[in-house]
Amino acid sequence: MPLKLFVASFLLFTTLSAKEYIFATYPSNTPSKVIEALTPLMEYLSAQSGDTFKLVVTKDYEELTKRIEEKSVDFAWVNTKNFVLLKGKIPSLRYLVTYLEHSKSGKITPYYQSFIVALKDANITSLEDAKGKHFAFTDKESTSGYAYPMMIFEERHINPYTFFQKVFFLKKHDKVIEALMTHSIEVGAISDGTYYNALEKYGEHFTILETSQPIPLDAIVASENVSQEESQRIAHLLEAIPLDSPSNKAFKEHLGWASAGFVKKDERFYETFKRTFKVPLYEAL
Amino acid sequence: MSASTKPSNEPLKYHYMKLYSKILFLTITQLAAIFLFGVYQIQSLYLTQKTAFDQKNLIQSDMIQKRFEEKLEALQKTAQILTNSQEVITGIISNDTDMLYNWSKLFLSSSIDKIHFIDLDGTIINRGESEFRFADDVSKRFYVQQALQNDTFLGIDLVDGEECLVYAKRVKQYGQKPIGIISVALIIDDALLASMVQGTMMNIAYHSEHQTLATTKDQGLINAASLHVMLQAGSIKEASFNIGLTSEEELSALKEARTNFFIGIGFALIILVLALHFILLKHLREYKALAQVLIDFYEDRLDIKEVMSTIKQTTKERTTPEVKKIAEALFNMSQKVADTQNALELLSSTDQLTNLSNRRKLEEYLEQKLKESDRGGFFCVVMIDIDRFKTINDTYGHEIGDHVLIHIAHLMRESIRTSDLLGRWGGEEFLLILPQTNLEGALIMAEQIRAKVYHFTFEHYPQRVTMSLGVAQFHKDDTPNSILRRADNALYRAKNDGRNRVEYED
Repeated sequence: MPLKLFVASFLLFTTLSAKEYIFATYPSNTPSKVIEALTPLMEYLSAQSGDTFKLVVTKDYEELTKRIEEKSVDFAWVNTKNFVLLKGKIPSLRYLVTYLEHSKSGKITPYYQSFIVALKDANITSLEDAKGKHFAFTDKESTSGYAYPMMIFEERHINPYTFFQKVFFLKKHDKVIEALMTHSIEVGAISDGTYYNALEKYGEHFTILETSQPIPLDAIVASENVSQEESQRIAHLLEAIPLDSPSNKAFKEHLGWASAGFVKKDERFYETFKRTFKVPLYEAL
Repeated sequence: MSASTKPSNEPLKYHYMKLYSKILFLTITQLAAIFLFGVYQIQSLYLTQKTAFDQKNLIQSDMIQKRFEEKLEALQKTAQILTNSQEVITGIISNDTDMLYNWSKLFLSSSIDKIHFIDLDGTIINRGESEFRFADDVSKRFYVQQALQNDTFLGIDLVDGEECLVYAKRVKQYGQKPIGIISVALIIDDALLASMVQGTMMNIAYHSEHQTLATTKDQGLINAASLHVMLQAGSIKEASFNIGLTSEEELSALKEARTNFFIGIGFALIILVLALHFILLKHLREYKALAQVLIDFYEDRLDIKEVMSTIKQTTKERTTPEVKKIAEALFNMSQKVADTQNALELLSSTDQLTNLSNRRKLEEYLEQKLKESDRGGFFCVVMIDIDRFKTINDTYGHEIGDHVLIHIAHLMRESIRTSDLLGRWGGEEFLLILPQTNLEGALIMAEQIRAKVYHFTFEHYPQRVTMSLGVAQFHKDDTPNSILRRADNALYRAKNDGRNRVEYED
């Protein structure tokens, strides 16, 4: 009888202590697709934690940032740049895990990279050889297509606007590849994923002249609403997602992401990204 | 008939030619007038149609001119819009190929084939028509240099190896600082030419030192005129647009109709004149033939019978009703003349009382027989005299005497052959000429006549009437007098030998 009473009391306590969490994310794709991609993850977390995870897709980054600041959300999926900015604004923001992805190179990594590539038939084997050539970035807002390549040039003390004959902006990584293949440019900055896709599509036509530092992938953070212990618990649950989980499959199916789960990194992992804020824009040069 | 009224062939021919000429002249004049009126009408119609045709061509030429100007305006407007866009200016400054591409996509159309954004170095930042083809140097291109120097260029130049209508305009930041060039171009190709002449009858040709294009491949342009294009001299030499017709098919049909009409009416005129000529000749020839018959009759080349025969022949021939009627009238008139002539002839050769031939006729006949004797003819003459006829007249009066003469003449006529000629020689004396009759035959004939009269009983004369007859046979070298003298001698002998008898003298 006392045992029955204990079990009943425990169940009542558990039920009374179960929480409802708001999990917010930015619209990386159409909201419906984002919802469909993240719903299995929410179900996984709810089932494993005993709590209830409710998904919210904000209108944009600004709303997401605002809601994190207002603490109207408990957990959030933020991109690297937002994480770095938010961490600067809200030091109490708790880092949980970093998104893991199957790289085109075959590895599972929590980062990607930026490559500076040249056409093989341009006979450019080093960045020095590329002097006086035509070069293309993707977009000044792009991390891998502009910020990290600029960091490479900074490290090499190169001003691309004077080093190259002309510098163009093509918006998308694929367009850099197309411009290379059309011989409009000889050198371009692209993400590693774009590079590996181009290899599949066109073959060994490119020479990687430079590789950037790892660019951290998106992070999942928790607001101050969530305790340190609870954050750790949820982070463990996220790290424990198996590769063949419905969550990873849903990411692949609805967003095309080769998701491999999450990994907890040191927060300093994102420190390199802060340097991108200091990368000079064209107008400044 | 006097000599002045005597007809001859010469005047007839003259009148005949005059009539022919008059009819021919009048007819040709009328036909020529009709022909000229027709020519005038056709020519007026042709000129009216040609004016309308020229007017239509002019309108269509203006339409093509307008279309061409609209093409140029579209180029200029597009360049104007792009140069005024702040985003485009930013895109050129920052070499934002993607942004410039997105802008150019909005303006590419059937009127704009190429939009190029070029920086001040002459490097293409973006080609609207080819997203990934850029960064090449076009600083040496004529239109780029012109735009850099003169702010704008509107003309024909090679853009990416293609001859284009190109408008290039310098882009300025804040309206002052040049930052690059925008060139907007339309390829000069068959499609452009076709679009300019669409819906018209006109054709257009473009010619330059590099190429010749035309909406019609095989034919040259008729009445070609250059488009009045306000283009700057470009690097393309001898570039020109010409518009015109490939064929004046519409006008050609009219020209052909006009020519056919002229030929047709000219041919008809010739045929009509020839037909008229032959009809006139035919009709006038018939009239002339009839007139000639009359002239021949008058001039004794034909007698009345030959005239009748000729005219009768004419009425039987295939001729016009008018000529036939005239010929019939002439024939009837000739018939009357012949009848009258016969009657007069009979009257002049017949004795009124006995109805026998008179002395003149007998003399003519005798002359004729003498002539025929030259060709082997022979004959006899019988001189007949009624015995004591004076007594009949004196006793019973001249009326009974005439009665006796008439009956004796009748009796003798019954006795002779048709080839013989019996006539009253004078008073109660008769002469009988017997052709192809020898003396024996003549004597028999004379005896029969004598006997017949002797045995005849007169109605109003109770006495027997006798006759004495003297027969003479033709001798070679006889004259009328000689043979008549011998017959007269024989008659005298018969009288002397007791009358009522026949004597002859050989």
